[in-house]
Amino acid sequence: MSNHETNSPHQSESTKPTERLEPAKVEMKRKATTKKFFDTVDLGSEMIHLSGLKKVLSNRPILRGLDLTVYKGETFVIIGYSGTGKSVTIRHITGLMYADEGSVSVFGRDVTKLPPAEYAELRKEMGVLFQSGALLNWMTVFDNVALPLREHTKMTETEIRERVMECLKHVNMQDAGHKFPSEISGGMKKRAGLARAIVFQPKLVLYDEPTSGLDPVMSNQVNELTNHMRDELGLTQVVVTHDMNAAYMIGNRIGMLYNGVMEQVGTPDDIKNSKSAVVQQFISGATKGPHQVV
Amino acid sequence: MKNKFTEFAERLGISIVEVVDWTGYATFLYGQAILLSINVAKIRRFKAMLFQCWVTGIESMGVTLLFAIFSGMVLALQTGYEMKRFGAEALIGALVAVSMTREMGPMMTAIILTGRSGSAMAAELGTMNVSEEVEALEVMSINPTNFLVVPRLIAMSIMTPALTIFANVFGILGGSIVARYMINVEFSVYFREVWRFLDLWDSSWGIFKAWIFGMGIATIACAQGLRARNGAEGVGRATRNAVVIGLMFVVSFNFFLSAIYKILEDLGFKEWLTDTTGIGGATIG
Repeated sequence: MSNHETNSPHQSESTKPTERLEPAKVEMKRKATTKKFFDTVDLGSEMIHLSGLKKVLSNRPILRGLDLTVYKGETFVIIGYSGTGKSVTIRHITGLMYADEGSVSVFGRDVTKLPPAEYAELRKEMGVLFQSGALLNWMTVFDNVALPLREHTKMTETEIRERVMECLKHVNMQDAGHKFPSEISGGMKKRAGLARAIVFQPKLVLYDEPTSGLDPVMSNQVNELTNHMRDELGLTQVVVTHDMNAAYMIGNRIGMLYNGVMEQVGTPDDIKNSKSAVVQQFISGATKGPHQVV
Repeated sequence: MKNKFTEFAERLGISIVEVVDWTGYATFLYGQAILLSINVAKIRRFKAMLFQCWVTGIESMGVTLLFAIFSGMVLALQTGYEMKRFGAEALIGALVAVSMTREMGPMMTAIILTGRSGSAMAAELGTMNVSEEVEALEVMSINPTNFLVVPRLIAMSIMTPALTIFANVFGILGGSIVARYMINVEFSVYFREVWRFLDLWDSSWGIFKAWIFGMGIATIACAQGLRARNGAEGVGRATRNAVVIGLMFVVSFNFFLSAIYKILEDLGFKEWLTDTTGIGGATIG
């Protein structure tokens, strides 16, 4: 059985081997997938391109000319201190926020100039996993996942059921469709949110702090799921996180956002061996360094 | 360095800008919801609307009717004894009927719905907003106005007039109990006077007012909820504002709508309607 199969998210929680949590194995897998990615990726196929992005919120400059390119099929991880604009960057990509200056290009289209109706169409090609999962509380998990299909397609209930169950199976929640969000754990909410994000078969999935508030095992499960989405479904992914273990495990490339621009972009190894004092302080968690902790 | 006057002027300016900004947003939201209301024909939105009708209307029925009965009873009690001193107690029915249908029915229903349904709507949408559920709808290309506001707006615009009709009926019934057992006015006399003084156009204007109140309460509550920020504290503030602004809206619009009706009445609008349609009008002058 291959390493990937061993770590398949389809396995039930009770049968998952504990060995998959060993850092050495995680590292080995990460290196293998990163190598595979850079061997196959077409660096010309840009999915997202941010250029000179500037944003001021409450008289405070958050983004100061951010440049960023995400290529097709990669998982790009954005790391950075709290309040440095990681989530703001994602909100610009999804159109929940508009730039003061600069351009945001998604799937080759400059979305800053798109009318709202066209942007709404473009968004159907994206899925977003919010920090809390953002499931609608009055609907079951199944209905939450089915919502985009019911709203935007003319699929029959049978077809919807098939597609929803397929997505729930991807996140190992095929038996929890009848439950309400208040009846499931934080990790399950995130997995259900991910199932909803992929139900429309998007090309791009954006994750906002997917592992925050989760225990290490659950975090690992979400990370494996993120890799599964890239490897099995071929999704391009942008992940915002503080969690360096997660960043190393899932990222093909990692970008450190600092002072409104990318301090460094590189492979996980580049980041680990970074000569930037800011990056080193962040990944080591040191309280003393160029970044003043208030 | 700023002196106290400058600080005060600055705060006042910010408050005025916030009020204008929010009013503009609520007006825009209302306009957008009206334009999107046509989608209620879509079966799922129709189901959502029916659910909101149940939550905002049917579940408020008990408390509204209880209020209405006691309001009618108080009205009959307070005026009954005074009228009895002048030998005019037979007209209690007329007084209760006119008061309930023109003013008390619509206003009382609107006040109850502001406190009960308006606050619930603001809290619900506010919680959804601070927990990123509204943003999740947006990124799924689901218009939150269409999905969340339209069913609530339509439900309130149906259920407020409907509850008002019930409130009017139960208020008049409540008054009849006091009239019969405390003022000694026979039921037949009471209801004869009710019937004589009830005016179709007066009652219709009362129901029209309730319709306006219902839409206003829903719009204010939804606008507050969708603008809630900063977690639980923000949801609390949105809920409180929805009730306060909703009550202010009901009380002020009640005056303006009553004034408009009086002006129309003076211009002979009621007679014109009666002549044109051949129905309505008070049976005695």
